[in-house]
Amino acid sequence: MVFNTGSALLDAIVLAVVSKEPEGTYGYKITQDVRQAIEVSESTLYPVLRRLQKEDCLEVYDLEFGGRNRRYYKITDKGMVQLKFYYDEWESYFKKINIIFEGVK
Amino acid sequence: MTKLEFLKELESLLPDIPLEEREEALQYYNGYFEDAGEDNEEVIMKELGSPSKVAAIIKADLNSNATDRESRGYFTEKGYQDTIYKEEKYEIIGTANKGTTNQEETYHTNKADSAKNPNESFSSNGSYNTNGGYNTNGSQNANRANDTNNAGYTNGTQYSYKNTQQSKNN
Repeated sequence: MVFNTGSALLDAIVLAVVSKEPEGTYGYKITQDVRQAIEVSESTLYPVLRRLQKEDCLEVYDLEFGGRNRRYYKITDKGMVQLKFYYDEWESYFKKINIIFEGVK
Repeated sequence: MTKLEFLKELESLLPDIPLEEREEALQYYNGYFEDAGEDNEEVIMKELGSPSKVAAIIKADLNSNATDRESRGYFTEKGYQDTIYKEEKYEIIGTANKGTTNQEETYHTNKADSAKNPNESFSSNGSYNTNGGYNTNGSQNANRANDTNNAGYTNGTQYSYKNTQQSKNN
């Protein structure tokens, strides 16, 4: 993709991906899901997840899986509020851009 | 390099962050390898780049504050409106321009043309060339090539100014 993804949009995408799993989801899967939409390297998401966790937008818990503990991420109420905020911002952004693009196709 | 060696090296590269952060990061990447499966270990390591690259990304985020991050977002999303990282932005454009001599020539031609014009305002307007938005778009391919070289940061273009600095260190 030729367009950049800013850190706010990346936060928003990660929150949206995690919010789709009510029981929580884990780092590897989050990375794969985010990569469905944008080119993101394997090492980009850890700091994002860690920060969202510290900001109480995500909560973590460990669950036994295949003989080890797997860390799961789950969206918090605060995270949902933040996600809605991002979504509204995004909606207004892309609508305005689309108006500019009207007639290009 | 095995997964264990990778994680050990990563650990050794993070002595200067709080213990809790180090353990979190190592647990994350250990789990990441486990979830990817043994067959994918090498692919993952290749994707991650080197342990030092992973360490640099972890540290960069720990050392940044909210204002830094907002500025980064601002920088990538609103491009030329941003002034905080003008220096770094110019540096990146400079790199990109190396691959696009045509761009340079076009600019010079324009400059020469306008020099003939008694109205000098266009050529004396230095901001034309340093205007990030314009040039960055013009040299998109060069930018992308640059990104590919720094595979780990490809998407994280919001880190691009750090990226440039890191390339220098390498």
